Amino acid sequence: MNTIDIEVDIRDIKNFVQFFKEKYVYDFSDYALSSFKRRLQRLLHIYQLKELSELQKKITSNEIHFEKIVEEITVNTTEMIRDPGFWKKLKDTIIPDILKAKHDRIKIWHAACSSGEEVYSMAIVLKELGALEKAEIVATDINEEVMQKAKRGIYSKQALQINTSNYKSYTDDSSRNFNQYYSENDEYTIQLDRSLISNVKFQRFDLVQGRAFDSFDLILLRNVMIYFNFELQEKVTELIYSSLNRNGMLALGTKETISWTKASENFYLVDAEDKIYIKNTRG
Amino acid sequence: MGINGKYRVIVIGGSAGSFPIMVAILNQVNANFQIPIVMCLHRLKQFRHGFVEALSLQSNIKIIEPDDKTPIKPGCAYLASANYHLLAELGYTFALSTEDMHKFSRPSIDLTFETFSYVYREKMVGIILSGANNDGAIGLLKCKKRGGLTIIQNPNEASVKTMVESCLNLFQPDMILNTKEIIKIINS
Repeated sequence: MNTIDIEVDIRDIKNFVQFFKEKYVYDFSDYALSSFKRRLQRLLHIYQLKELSELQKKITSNEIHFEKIVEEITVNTTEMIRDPGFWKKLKDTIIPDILKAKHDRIKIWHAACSSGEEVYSMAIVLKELGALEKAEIVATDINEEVMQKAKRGIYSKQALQINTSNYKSYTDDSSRNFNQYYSENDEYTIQLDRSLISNVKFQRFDLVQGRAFDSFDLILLRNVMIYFNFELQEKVTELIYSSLNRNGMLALGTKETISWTKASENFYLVDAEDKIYIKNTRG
Repeated sequence: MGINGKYRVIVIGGSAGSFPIMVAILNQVNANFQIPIVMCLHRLKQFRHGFVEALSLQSNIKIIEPDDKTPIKPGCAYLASANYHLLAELGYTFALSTEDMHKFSRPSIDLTFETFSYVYREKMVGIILSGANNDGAIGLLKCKKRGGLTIIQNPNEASVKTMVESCLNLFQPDMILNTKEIIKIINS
């Protein structure tokens, strides 16, 4: 049976969310319904189950670990240097401007780092700017498992073609190639240069329930808000606001916007194409 | 019975060979057309720009690539962005997703059709045009099962037949039409 053929009732989704919240503290009630429903259909497909109540039983009996469910519910597809033009802007203007304003220091938060592709992408940009040692970087995600992947830095060769071509579109320097940042690990995988992330602090953080824990000059939250409903977007935008320094910047995914939120009044959109915002500290 | 008044959204899927058909539809649709048109056309992710512009050249209606949570409104045509799935949300807004490719495609026509038929039910018109893989067939079947009107481009006219033939292999769509007839139905 195809994922798309599995019917999931909204009432069942609500019950499942409630069960998960009470038992495991993860709260998915403000996830955007359409994609959340698809994730649940996918879970049922993976475990060859017909209904969410069956899945609930298997989680309760520990046959399926709840962390595995969290990992599967959150979307973890990502690429290195996804949207090369965005990374080029970071390298050409945004990061140099912050470094200039902040006396050669920069604090960056990857607010949902997933398996780490963007953490490495950022480290590459910083390294090429000679600024990797000047940066303080925190990378967080709701899911511990997926962050382990980031720390290990081992990625499938399947993604290599995309990542290499993204890098090529991003760089101005034709003598550089993505292959200088990894070595072959085995037949199927590559090992990224882990020195790139040697000063990245990884920690678990849930955007739904977390509170501001530090303040940053640049926050990356790319392709995360699309999985949240209006209410949660509002809440997270406020959290981001509280986590940004004066003139701090926020980068969303290219098709995301916070313009529907009330909290967006406190931001200027400085780049409409790549959805880069600056915290508005006037008033 | 015409489309206008009876349906609330037209969703069109296509791949190789669909571009000129899509252009013809947009150029000949009535300028005061009051049903949102949603287009999920396979495209290369490297080319984020140019597609909307190319479709817009002589289009009678405004075409935009919606951001996440953009309200789905009449009088507008919407194009699925490169490298995102385009879904519908209850409450008639768009929802985007970066989840895995489906049938080697992101945007995937199946996913757009599945979620739109879920939200719009019998108020949806689904149209599949020329294309080189079978993405869209299951989506169009979903539209049919939920009471929507299903149309495919005539395989004899489609420059690449795989997509429409995949639909025919699954079920009998309500109408099999040439481009001219599709435009006529949309304007009816």
